[in-house]
Order: sequence, then structure tokens, then C-alpha cells
Amino acid sequence: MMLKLVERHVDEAALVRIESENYMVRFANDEATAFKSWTTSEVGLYLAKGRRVAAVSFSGEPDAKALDEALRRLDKLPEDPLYVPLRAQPPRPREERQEDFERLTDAVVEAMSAASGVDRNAGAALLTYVRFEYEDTHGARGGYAVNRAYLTIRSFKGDLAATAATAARRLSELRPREAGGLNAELLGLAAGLPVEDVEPGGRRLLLSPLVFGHLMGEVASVWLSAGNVVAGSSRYGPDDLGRTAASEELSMEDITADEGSYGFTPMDYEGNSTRRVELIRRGVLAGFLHNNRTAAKLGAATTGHALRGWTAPAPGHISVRPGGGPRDLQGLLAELGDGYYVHNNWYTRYQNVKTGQFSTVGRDVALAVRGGRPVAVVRHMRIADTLENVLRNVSSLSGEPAQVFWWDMPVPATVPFAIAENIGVVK
Amino acid sequence: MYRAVDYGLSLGAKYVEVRFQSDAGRWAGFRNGQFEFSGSALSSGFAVRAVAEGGLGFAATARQGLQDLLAAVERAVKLARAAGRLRRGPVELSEERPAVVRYELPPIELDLERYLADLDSRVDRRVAVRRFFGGVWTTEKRIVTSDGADVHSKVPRVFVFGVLIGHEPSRGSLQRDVSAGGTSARSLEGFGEFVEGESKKVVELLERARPAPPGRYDLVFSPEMAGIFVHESVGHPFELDRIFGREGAEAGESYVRPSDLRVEVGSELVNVVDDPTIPGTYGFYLVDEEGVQARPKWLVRRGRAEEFITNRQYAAVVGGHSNASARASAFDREPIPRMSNTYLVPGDWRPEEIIRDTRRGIYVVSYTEWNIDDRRQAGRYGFFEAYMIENGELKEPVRGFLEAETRELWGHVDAVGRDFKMYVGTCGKGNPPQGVPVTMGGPTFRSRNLLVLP
Repeated sequence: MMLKLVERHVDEAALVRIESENYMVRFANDEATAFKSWTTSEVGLYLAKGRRVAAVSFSGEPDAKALDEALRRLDKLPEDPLYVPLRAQPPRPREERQEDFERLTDAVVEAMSAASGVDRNAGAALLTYVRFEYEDTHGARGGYAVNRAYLTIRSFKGDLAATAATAARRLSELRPREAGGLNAELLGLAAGLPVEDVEPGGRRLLLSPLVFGHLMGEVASVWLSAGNVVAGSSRYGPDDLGRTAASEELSMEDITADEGSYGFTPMDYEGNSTRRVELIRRGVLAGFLHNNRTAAKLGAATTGHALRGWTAPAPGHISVRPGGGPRDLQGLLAELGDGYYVHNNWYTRYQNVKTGQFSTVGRDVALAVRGGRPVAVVRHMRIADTLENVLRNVSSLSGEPAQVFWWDMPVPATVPFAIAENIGVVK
Repeated sequence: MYRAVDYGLSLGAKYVEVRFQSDAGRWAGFRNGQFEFSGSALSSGFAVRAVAEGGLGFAATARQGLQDLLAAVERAVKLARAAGRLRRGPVELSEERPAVVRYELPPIELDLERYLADLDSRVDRRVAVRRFFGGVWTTEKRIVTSDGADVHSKVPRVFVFGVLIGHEPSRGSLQRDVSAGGTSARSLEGFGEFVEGESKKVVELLERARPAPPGRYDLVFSPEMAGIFVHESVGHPFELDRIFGREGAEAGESYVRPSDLRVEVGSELVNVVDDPTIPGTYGFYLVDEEGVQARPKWLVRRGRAEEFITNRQYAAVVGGHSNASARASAFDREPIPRMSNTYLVPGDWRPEEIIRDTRRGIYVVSYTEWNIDDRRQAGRYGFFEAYMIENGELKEPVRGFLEAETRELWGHVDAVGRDFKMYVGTCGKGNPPQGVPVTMGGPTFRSRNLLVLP
């Protein structure tokens, strides 16, 4: 209906309708702080006339006045130098049945129960059901409806803390018991250890999936989105494809197209199927994430990553191929030998996005490891280096990846533990 | 909305709050002088909070028919009951005098695309990457609570953000982020000149600034630095929900512990205020989302904690009153304690006097990368623009990082200027995340004997 209304005023238009139902259980100090439910209903319209492009979105009821104004303004906008016509190739529609949110609480209780020996727990569990529909004035139509769920639990023991996260496409696939158990194990390892300050310098680090996934998500978002390549704010240019960018141990993909990924999204805002994208293949830069316009600009095909709107492509879920390292924390600490174990991080900020100079604050337990054994809890630790050094200095990956997502991760990730050499740490 | 409140009470809720919120506006972006995007957005719907059987429930709906709203009320009450079963003690709210008021600011007229194009044209062409984003929108809210509040507000805002990156392979790379905003177009006055000046600094500092020799210095900080410091190391740790652990798994906790609220934060010269009522500011509001009238809050007076940023729930926890800090970023977000306009209170030094009075130090004008741990104790701030001070005179530009614990930073303050400036930001907190408009600032001030590393 809305497309019919605008069709005679524009050369082409696309409409997306996104409805979501979200349920969240938040808890702190071992009790519920709030149970939340929110439904969103958003209509987004893409309008193109000549090479002029505008987007309009409405949440709730469509606003005819805003639509009229957008159509009037379309003629006055500057031309979009990256404009290309829509050429949607939607996948077959797919629809899942909505999961029962009442089981969210069970997952929270199970996680807290498994965190034995800790003083208190905080966290959140979220179940989202998203329905997405696409249609355009060329007659293309598509859509999907999927569930996503994640749970984060942070456990405290005295001044120590540990966070575990589990993400899945179905509530039954969450691993709350493992999450709580992991916190208990880590806090048990750290309890009673002396506290020491970080020794600044280049250090050998064991990065948990939370930390490694966070940093690889930053790489994918900041450097591998072709929007940033086109803008010149990425470390990489088009000519860097095929060149060595990382350690040979490292192979990274965007797996938004994989049905089992928390971030699974079958199609994008341009009506294209989302494709699995090799980003780094055994250390070699293999691809960027594209929408129609960046693909045309860089002479590539879209990868269907107009995931957050029509402006710029973005990752939806990344993965790193596991290696041959140990699968358990004790074995990984033994393999680390001498260095630091960084369990979680937050507050990543850039001195410069182009050079990838960043720092991120170690959060929860960080352990000084000597001779393969934890010997001290490290107080106030940051990783301060470049994304490139992290990419190039990965020396070992654990044998089993974990699917993780929590509040401070840029992108959901399925990644193993990683050992990286000579990574800058500061207080 | 009254019917919805009554319906919630009839379902057994002890407290019901219904909020309609609409955010309507336009957005645009420029990339290296080229138009990147333009769009308009309207986000609107109803939010309902209910306290029932000891628990707190929140439900929001974008569908705005009466039946949709009543269904949201039912969900909020049901969720509150379910939450109550997982609590040791009931959620209580402080008793407050409910506000009944309507206030509105005139809309902002701005040709956004032209404004951004003009900003871009002012940037020194030697700056390799130039990106500008801007938005102009109006937030309209009506809040009705079961204890008598009825508040209708309409506040426009403008926000502009830019990223400038100087990049020359032989010299390295330097990035400066710039932003401006407020509740009227006047808040952008002078920003074009500021952007022009900062872009020249990107080029100049990339050429001239050298790493500062590591060591301890007396640091003189500009109003921009005062702003980020008060926001990160006083404002956030003074959020009472955080102190009591509610944000423990996400935004973190605080160095202020529930058992010792009246902590000493800094020297007697340190006074910090959060005030949402300052006209024109980006963090402006007169009544919060719980219907409590806003006022200035003295978070720190003469170096000691005096008041915390709180909503009604956490005011009840400490047996006090709310100071109207409950904010929600959108209709589908729960109101939680937030900062507004947070600043270091000016003292009586002239800024140039502070520099003249410093024998060996560094004058830090602006920052790049920064972060702090989740209890807000250990901060690290990278210098974008900074100069050595020798015998009271500014010398060569330097790069470096301040590494300071919060009580060291504020405890060593011995001079506070009489100048004053505020800067805008978007403050993040909550799950699901909520970015709310804030400002932060203060005067030039000095803190002695702080660690600087290259």
C-alpha cells in the first residue's frame, strides 16, 4: 500500500517492515531487578529519484506528513555518488515459530545455581523474535522470522568477578549451566591468589572467546565493512585484498548467513540474500562486507550485508576457525606458559580508527600465569595496541569455539580462545 | 493514559507509570565532502512500568491503539509479579510530590545537509579522512503516574559529530573527534570555526607533537578534560543503581560502596554538580520520567560525596528522595538513573594564572582515546592536544597518556579556574543499551604530580 503511494513520485522504492518481540530478565545480587517486554514495529522506506536517495522510517503508525516531506525533500538533496539501482534477489521466505519466553527465567536460575561458591550474580537473558519483510517497486518480495537468545552472567566473589555468556538461536541451545560453571571455575582458580599490578610491555596473552571475539568483531566492523574502505577510514584499501594481513593461524568469516548463528539474518535491507563471507583466509585478506553501493564502487558483488539500513554494510556474526590447541582452561593456561590470561574486556576506544590504535579495559579476573599456572590476580589491566598487531600475532587457537554475545561486544561471535604474542598491555 | 493507569491498578499493581514518547527528526552524513546519506525517522510508542507483588515489570509497545496499550499494561503487571517471585525484598519507590506541568521549546530550523557540507568545506584539505554526521529531532513525552504526575514535554535537539583523520605514511596518523549540540540552533554557534581550527591542529600536531618524556607532572587541564573526567569518574560512579549493583553485569559498579556512601573523592577544591535544568543544554529536562521535578544536584561538595544520581527506587533503598534522574532514551526503554549536564564547579583562578604558576607540567587541551574500569577507579586518557609547561610558559606540543586513579586525580587538585565551558556527548548505560544526551565540562584546573606515559 505504502509503495503504491510513493511509486509515482520516485524511480524506485523499497519497503522493509520489521517487527520484534523482546523479553528480558535482568538480575543483580541474585534477585530479579526487572522483567521487561518490548515490541517494536518499524517501517523503513528507501526512496530513489535520479541519483538522489533518502530513507524514511516510522515506528508505530505510518506518518503521512513525514512521508510527504521526505518526498518533497528528495528533489533538493545532493546526488548520492555511490547510487546504484536496486536489484533485489531475496531468498525463499522462512519462518520459525516463536519461542516461549517464560522459559527464560529457568535459564537464569540454572546459570545462577551452577555458579557455586560465588557471593552473588548479576546478568541478563534476552529472547528476541524478529519478523522482517521486504518488497520493492520492481516486484521483489521476501521475508523471514527468527528467534535469538542470549544469556550473560557475571559472578562476584569478594573483589573478584567473572563473566560468562552464551548465545543461540533457540532457548534450548543456550548453555546456562556451563556459563555459571565457568564463572565458578575461574573464581575458584583466582581465589586466594595474591594481587599484583600489570607489568606494562609486550606480553603473551591468552584471550578468552569474549575478548578475542570482541577484538575480531572490531576488526570486522571498523576495517572490513566496505563502507569504511570507501571512506578511507579503514586500514585497508581495495588493493590489500590478497595480501597478508594476519597470522597464518587466523581464518575469519562472517557467518550471518548460517542458520545456527545467533546473528543469523537470511536477507538484508536491499532484499539480497546474506552470504557467508571469507574475510581472512589463513592470514590473507580475502574479502570485505558489501551492500549494493559499496560493491558497485569497488567492483565486487554485494554480500548482502546491508544489515542495519541502506547506508553502510556491517557484520552480523563473525567466526574464527578453531585451531589445534587445548579445549579446557587449565590446558590453555599450561599452553600459555608465561603471560596473562584476559577473561573479559570492555570500553574499547580508538586513538585512531585508521591505524587501529586502541585500548580496551580488562574486566573481571585477569590472571598472571607463570610456568603454565596462575600465580596472581592482575589489578587494572588494559590491552593497548593496534588491531593489526593482534591480527598478526595470533600464535595458537583452541580446539573448540564458543558462540558468545553480551552487552559490550560489537558483533556476536563464534570463536575459540586465542594466544597472541607480544601484545601491548598497560595499567 | 489515565485509563491505562487505572487498569494497571485494578490488576493489583501498587504503582503504574505510563509514558508516551515520540522521537521524530532527520539525519544526514557526509563522507570526504560527498553526500553519504539522509533520512528521517519517527519512533513512537507507549511504555508502562508497574510495581506488583514486590517486583518491577516494564512493557512497551509501538502499536498505539487503546487495546495495545492495555495489553502492555497487562504484560507489565504480569512481568512485575514474575519478577517479584525472584526477589528477596520488594521493590519500593520513594514518596515524591508528583509534577503536573507542560513545557515546550521551539523547534529547531536547520538545513542539515547544507550545514554539514559547510562544516566539511572548512576542514583543512590536508586532512585525509573527513566524516560528518548530524541529526535534528524533537522528543515529545507525556508521563502519567498512579500517584498523580502528569507531565507533557516537547524538547527539540540537534547533534553534530565529526571525525577528522590526518594520515601521512611518513609521519603517521592522528584522529580528532568533534561534536556539538543542544536544544536550539544557537548551540552550534562557533562550531564551524572550532572544526576549522581543530582540523588545522590535526595537521600541525601530526607534524610537531613528540612523545612526552614519561614521568610525573603537574597537569593543567582544559574545560574539555574537566568534562570527560567528571563524567567518567564522578557522574557514573555516583549513579545509585550502579552503587547497589543493578548494572553489575553490564555498565559495572562503583568505587562508592553501599556501606560507605559519604566517600572523600578529592581535595576541598573539588565540587561537582549535575544539573538538567540549564537552558539550551543537550542534557536539558525539567521533570524526569517518574514525574519528579528536576533540580541541580551537588554530587561532590568540598571534595566529599554529598548526593547521588538516583531515581525513586534507589532513593527508597537509602531512605531518601529522588532527585529526578530517571531518564529513558526511547519509548521502548526503561527509565534508569542517568546524568544530564555534569560539571566541575568553577573556582577563582584565572586560567592563565594556573599555567603561570606551574613550574614543570603539561597543559592538556583535548583528548583522543580514553577509558576507565567498570568501578571507575583507573582512568587512562590519551592527549590529542597538549603542551609542555616550563617555568609557567607553554612550550612544545606533546603526545602521551594520563594514567590516574580517580582519588589521585581529584585528590591532587590545588587550583580551579574561573572559566567555564561545556561539551556534548552521548552517555551509554542500561540493557538494552540506552544512549542519552548529556553535556559535561567545567573550568581549567590543575592536579599535581600525575603519571604521564608516552
